[in-house]
Amino acid sequence: VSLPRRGRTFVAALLTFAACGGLTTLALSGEARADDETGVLMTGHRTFESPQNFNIELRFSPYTPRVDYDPSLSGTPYTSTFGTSARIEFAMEFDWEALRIPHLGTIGPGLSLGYTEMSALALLANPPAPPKSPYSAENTNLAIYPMYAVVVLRADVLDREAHIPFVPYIKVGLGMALWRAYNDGGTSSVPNGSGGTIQGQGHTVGTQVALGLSFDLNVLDAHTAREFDNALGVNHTYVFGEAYVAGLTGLGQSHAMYVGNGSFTAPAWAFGLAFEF
Amino acid sequence: MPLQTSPWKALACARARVRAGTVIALALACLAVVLFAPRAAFAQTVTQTMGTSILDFTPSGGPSLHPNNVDATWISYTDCETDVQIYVPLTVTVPPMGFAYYGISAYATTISGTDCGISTNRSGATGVCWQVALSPGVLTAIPVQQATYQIRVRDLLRDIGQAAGVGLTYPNGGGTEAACHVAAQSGAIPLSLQFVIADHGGNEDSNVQIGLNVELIGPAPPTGITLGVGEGLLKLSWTPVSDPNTQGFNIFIDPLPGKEGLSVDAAAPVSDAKPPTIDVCVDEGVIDGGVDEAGDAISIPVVGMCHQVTVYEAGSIQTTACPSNILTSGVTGVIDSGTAVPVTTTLDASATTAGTNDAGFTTVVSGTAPTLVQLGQIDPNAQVGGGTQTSATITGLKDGYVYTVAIAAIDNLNDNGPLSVPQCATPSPIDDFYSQYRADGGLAGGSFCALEGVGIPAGTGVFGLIMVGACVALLRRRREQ
Repeated sequence: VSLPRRGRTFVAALLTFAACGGLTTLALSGEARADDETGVLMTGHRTFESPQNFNIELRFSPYTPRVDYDPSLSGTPYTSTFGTSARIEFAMEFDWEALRIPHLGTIGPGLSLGYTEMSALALLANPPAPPKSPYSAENTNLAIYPMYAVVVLRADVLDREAHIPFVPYIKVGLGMALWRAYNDGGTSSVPNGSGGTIQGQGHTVGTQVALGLSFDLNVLDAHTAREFDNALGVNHTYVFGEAYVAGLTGLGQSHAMYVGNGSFTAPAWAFGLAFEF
Repeated sequence: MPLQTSPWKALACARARVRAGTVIALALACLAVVLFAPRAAFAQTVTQTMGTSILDFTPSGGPSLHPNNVDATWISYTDCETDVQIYVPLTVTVPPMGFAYYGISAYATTISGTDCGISTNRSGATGVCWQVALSPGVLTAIPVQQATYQIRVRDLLRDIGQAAGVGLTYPNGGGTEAACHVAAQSGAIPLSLQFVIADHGGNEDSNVQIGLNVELIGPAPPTGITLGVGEGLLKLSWTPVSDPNTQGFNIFIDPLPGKEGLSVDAAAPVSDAKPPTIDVCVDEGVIDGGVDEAGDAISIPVVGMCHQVTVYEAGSIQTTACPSNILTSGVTGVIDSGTAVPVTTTLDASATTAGTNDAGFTTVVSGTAPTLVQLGQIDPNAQVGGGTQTSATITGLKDGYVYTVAIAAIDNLNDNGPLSVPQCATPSPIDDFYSQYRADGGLAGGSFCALEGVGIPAGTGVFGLIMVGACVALLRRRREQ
């Protein structure tokens, strides 16, 4: 993948940050648990709350794969087939708030798995003359399973210490997506030139960066929030919105379909609910 | 049921009156015979007891039972077509009357409340009960005989819909396949089967009636049918049906998938007497003044099937292209004359340029609705279960072949209803997303997590390393806890 110098530097910085964050998390997690109440880094919690170690997000995001941004393409196959309308991605993210940084927030690894699909009528290879429709009755589809592993830093100091119910956060890591192109007859394929076929499915590796803001719903009804905590151990419930870049451009791959979403100039958006427990 | 006296006994009484001249005495005697003799003979009423398994359908040989015939009191079209018999276990008890044997016969009727034990309902102009063959027809074990009586379904259906007094006597050979088509419309036809026992003295008794239902025609076909094409497949859709009897649909297609282009590719050779492609030649407009071919009519003799018709120009321009200069063998029609002939399709005027020719113009034509036999039913996987379904995809087809597709609704007995108007379509290659992607220079693909180039991509390695590290850390932490 060809990137300008600034872009390469940025990607390198992200990778370094992700690697360092992940290794630090792994190295210190056991120690932090041991010093739960007294250590500098601890998974502390207020006296009336149940322990807080994890975060689960239910995510919804408009998704427009950046297939056509592949510089090796001579056309715009994605837009020609599926148009410009975004589809919805459903995803779930699980974060482990392994460390608590006093007067800042938590940091830890997170994993996410999502799914999105686009479908449209396929064009006939030999379309009839107008006014007959050039489309077949067969659907052509592209299914994408985006996933990523990130380091998540949640700055919940405002919420916890200043009682301002907003929690900004940042996620940095690596992403990967499995994709499959298929139609009503099964997985799409094209001849490989030697009598066989090439299946229309593969994976794409890239980066994942996100910047978001959560609103703590506990402030709306503290009593219910506390009962929720007592009953299910959920400390905080958030609604959140985040801007993210799934830069799935084939990091380290020789051939990859650009199935990522968003860019640094036009990031993608995700919204959803989060539960800390 | 009241006891009955046969006609010849009354005749004997009349003769006696004439011979003796003692009208009163003989009348009294006859009255005594009528009233007392039979009653004495059947002082203990003949009892007919049905077996525990009420009815049991078994095939008369060859094909097995219809798989959906879960209720033996319902007779389906398939039961009739496969010529099954119903088996009726019956226990008959008669008092010892001195006769060597008794006769047992069976009658059927569709008239509700009719007692076929009354002789006038079985004969004459008012008879509405027809006799069905029964085997065995003689009681040989007196006083109690337990037997399983066999009745052919075609016999039972033989006279459904007949006027009173018609066809009441059991004919030679019994009911034929024609009996399977006696129903004019869908829906259940109630049928009563009744057994009658008679002795040599002319006395009869009957006390067993069995209620059956006959359903020979399935629900009406769906409407709003569209047939779309895909690569090696056809997509059939229709508007939802409202008939609650519809339990699913059967899809018929010709030629059968995998048998395209064969001389016999479906159930009926007649449907494949002609190849699926027919060439038709029309003139170049010489006769009609060199205008165009709009209105030129062609007729395809193969009923019910879809055929692709390629139009060639006859005459000086396309002489070499047109095989027979006017019309190919086997295709009838008229050119320019305007004479009325069975018109299957009319050439599309919009495809014709005045003064030029229509060489290569193709169209697909279909005839009248084919019969179920003419269309080959595709494999059971093509049966669409559930009356609420509104679409089906037929796969395994070949691009470029013209297929005729029709659909029939089926009921809970798996009886096909009338066929829908057949649709014509030709599967064609599609240009799907991945094809376009590759055509535009994209090189990705192969399989999930396929190895690309030499070795594993670095990105995949880093990703995997982090994943493994996270798992190890999690396990470590659990052990510590």
